[in-house]
Amino acid sequence: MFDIAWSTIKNRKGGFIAAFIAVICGSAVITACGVLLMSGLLSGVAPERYAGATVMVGGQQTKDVSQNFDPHFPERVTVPASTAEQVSRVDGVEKVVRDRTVAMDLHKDDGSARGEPVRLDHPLYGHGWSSTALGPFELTEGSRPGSARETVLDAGLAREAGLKVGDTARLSVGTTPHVYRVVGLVDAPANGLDRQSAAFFTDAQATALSPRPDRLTAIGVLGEDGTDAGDLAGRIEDAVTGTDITTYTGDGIGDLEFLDVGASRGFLVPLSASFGGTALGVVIFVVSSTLGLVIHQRRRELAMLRAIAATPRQIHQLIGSEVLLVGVTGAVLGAAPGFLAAGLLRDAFAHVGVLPDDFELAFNPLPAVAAVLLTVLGARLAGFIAAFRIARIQPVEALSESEAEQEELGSTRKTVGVGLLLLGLVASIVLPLVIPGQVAIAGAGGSLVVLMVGSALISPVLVQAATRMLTPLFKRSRVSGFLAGANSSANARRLSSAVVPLALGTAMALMQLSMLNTVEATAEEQATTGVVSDYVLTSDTTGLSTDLTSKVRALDGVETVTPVARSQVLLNYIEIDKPASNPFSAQGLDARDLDRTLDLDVREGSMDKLRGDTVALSWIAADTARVDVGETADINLGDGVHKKLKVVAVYGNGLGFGDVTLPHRMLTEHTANQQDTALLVSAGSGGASPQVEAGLEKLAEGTPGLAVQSPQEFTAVQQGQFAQQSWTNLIANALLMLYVLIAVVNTLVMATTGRSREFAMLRLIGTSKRQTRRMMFLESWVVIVTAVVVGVAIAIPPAVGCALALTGQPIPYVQPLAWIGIIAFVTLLGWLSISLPTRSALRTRPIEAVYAGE
Amino acid sequence: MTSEWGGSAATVATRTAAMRLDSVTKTYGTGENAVTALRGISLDVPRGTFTAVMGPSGSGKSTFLHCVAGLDQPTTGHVHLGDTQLSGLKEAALTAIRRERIGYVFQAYNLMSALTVRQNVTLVARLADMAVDETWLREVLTRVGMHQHVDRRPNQLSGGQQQRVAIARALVTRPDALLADEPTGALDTRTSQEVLKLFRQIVDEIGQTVLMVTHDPVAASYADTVLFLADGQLAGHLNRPSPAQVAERMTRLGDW
Repeated sequence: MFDIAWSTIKNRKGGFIAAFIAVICGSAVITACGVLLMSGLLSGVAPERYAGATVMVGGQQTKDVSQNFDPHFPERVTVPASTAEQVSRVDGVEKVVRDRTVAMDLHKDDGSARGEPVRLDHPLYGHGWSSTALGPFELTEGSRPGSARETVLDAGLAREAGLKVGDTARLSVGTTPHVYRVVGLVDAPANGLDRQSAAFFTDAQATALSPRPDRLTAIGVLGEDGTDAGDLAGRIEDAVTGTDITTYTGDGIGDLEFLDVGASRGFLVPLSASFGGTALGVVIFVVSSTLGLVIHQRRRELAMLRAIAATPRQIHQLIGSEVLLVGVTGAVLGAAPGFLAAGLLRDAFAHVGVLPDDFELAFNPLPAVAAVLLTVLGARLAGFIAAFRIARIQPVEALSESEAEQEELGSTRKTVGVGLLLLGLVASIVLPLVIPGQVAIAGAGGSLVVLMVGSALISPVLVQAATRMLTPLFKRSRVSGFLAGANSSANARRLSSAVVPLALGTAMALMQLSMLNTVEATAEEQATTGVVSDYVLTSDTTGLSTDLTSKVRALDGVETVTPVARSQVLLNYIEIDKPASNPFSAQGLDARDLDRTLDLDVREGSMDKLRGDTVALSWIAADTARVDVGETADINLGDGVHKKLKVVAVYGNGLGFGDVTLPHRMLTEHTANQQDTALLVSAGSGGASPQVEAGLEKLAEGTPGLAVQSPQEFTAVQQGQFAQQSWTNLIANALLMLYVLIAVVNTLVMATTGRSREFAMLRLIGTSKRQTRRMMFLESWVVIVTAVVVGVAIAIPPAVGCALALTGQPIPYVQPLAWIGIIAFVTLLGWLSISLPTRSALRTRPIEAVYAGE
Repeated sequence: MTSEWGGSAATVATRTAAMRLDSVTKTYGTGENAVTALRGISLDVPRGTFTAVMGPSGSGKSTFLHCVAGLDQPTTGHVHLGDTQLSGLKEAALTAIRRERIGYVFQAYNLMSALTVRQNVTLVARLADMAVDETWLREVLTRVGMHQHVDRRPNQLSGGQQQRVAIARALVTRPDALLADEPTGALDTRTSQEVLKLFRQIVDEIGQTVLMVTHDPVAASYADTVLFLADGQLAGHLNRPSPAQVAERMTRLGDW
């Protein structure tokens, strides 16, 4: 069977090249997903500051969720200082190092109290001197810190900042400045120091700087000579009490040292798994529509085979062999560019900030192997679907049907198509009304595929409708218009296979764009209208020290100061029927006189009660977790501490300010830095006053990094996780859209080229080249108009559904220019893909084309 | 409804029939939309004869041929190919019979454009997973005059040559019957003659049974017997007629 298949492929290069391209690109897309998935599972960063440790003991950074992805805690899970004592008693432990890590900013002495900020390439962390044993860092110059005012810098940092032994360095924690004398320099450990800079203090000073003296960042263990790291780790785990403490060895230590790497994995695994699923679906969809066209173009031949000798099975075998040849070759060839595509996705994700800049992909052949298998299986399935009809029908029907297109669509096909459209409508619009929250957003987004498959099934009917609609226009041209109209209504099926991918691309682009725009516009509007204070204090250091609040309150004329701290928390709830735990952006604030500084658009309950074990939720978060005012929300704070909090209010402005609002102390205590993001300051009833402004400016002059802004300037909104999620979706979908784009061009070119014989016949009976071109021009309008109408029509319900789920209003944010741009692009693409092959087909002498065989 | 032909069937009944139809009717659709294509046809086609079936458009010629070939099932009645009753057989069994015991030649589009002449001719054997009888293959290709073009593809052949390859493909399995549906319909007069002479030859020289549907009196005149179909019923026959006789009979049957 393979040799027949091979001859057929060679003989019908045109059609099969289209399927081949679809398979190559599909395999590339799936490989890219696989690489991201593998990177999510495997990729890590080698430890730097902990490189010399035998075992590291640290917090458990992930939450175990049964039957679902395990989320990462957004803040560092610290270890009780007392644990170090337990660890030191374990057999084989030579030395225990209590590691403390404090984020810092470096300022140069410029004579002012504020100092001049030094921009460093990497974040700067301060540690106690004993931590140098973990690198190990070697003292190369000077001496170790002997007093609280002395520091030792890593040599790279000193070089970058232009500091040498004997100089004065200003190292601030938040907005609290400290001045130290540089007494020595250390060399970076063997692995280098590429992701951070380090400053070392006396252990006592490190403890004093640490926001939680009773907690350690991690405990480093140096084993006795000849101790196996794995065995030692096992003994330590047995000896240590407390379930949220775990051990790290080898390269795994990098995960403890660099939390962003672990977080990236937590982000990549679910994303690439779900995106990979969608991609596989789209690939099958595109490949089957391409193969459908190839098979359609040779129905007569297959009908003849059925009539003389072939069983339906053999038709399937023949098409299956062809698909296997095309599929295997294409899938193998597509795997290599897939690695390239994964690299591009990585760059894009790093650009929007969901991956660290130096995140490295794990390259191994497994994703390629999986992609080849999946693509080939997918292509086989697609081929089976495409061959199903022709193989099943009776040979007599096959012979007669092959002469002209069958008029009516099967009733099953119509019923299923309409059923899917209804299902899609329900999923996109009714779902957000009934069960809002994240399920609704996912449902609305996913309904696009359902709507697409539904309209693909009934697309011939849609094409006929479009033809009828355009017929009055066609009548103006007696020859070309008549022919185009006749062709379009008689060959609605053939036309619809060109319409479907074009509509799919349009709908995907429009929907993703509208979702992103809705989120961004809503977040921005909420943030600008929500801040009602007169001034906003922010800092370009790691944050605002919490003692700043009382300093500002003490200023003359200041009436209300609301400290706002930001982080993320995990909200735990039952999603449909299984437990889920998802990160939500959170803010911690002091609710006193909140109405003078911040308007969260409270819908239910009151923010006044936000103290003690309470929480306020945005309505999206409340609906997602299905809790109401007075009920209890189940939350893991940033560092994993589990809380059951009473819901005191539900508010509207979650996109602009965060979906979870906690009492100030509860949030900050469970972040690594324990600092504020902003202080919202209101003067008395008179509003902004020169007196307050002068006071604030004076404060800023003496405080490192502090900036005084008006609320209008403070639009650097942290748009919550939805905006980032939308960007992430857009990036992932950009790849899919590129794929659909290729499929569109592919299909249109193939469909047009397949008609060269027909063009030749028309020319022979006296139609001029111009008239033929015009006929195809008009036909391309049928394709484009149907595709755009269908694309817009099926993009609207999910867009409305997303808007409902995100803002509560059924009005998606539409950027008219962007929509017009997308539609114009689709139109141009469709037109070019039809008109160029038509021109090229008309270049052959008609008499040759007629005899050129089928 | 055996009509005239039923009477003379007895005269050839001494020879074993290659095909036998027994009160075959065929109705398409149901209720008011029902169209009856065949109305009780009974006949024997003797082995080793060349039979032509003629009739005006809509007389049921094609349905008749499809039923004989097992491409279509009669509504009532039976079709026998040799000793095998076709009615009631499953699609797989019918496919097996079509590939092993029937050779079929269409008006056009007989060949797979991707395959060479040789590959096209041996296609059935390949689909049936049978060995190719090389001696017979060579003889068949020589008989149809295509032995020098075995490596060409259909698009390198004239229409008449393509039709001769189709005949070779139909013959190569040594079928009980060779069925041809307007085999000269797409050919010019001279090429038609070549193809018809070929049919005559294989009947006379190797004893092949040929049943051909046509509306061309000249084509029909090559046959031993010409059967006339009108309105789904047999409407007489002529033995070894001249084209003029056939044409005259057809005029009486109505337009064609």
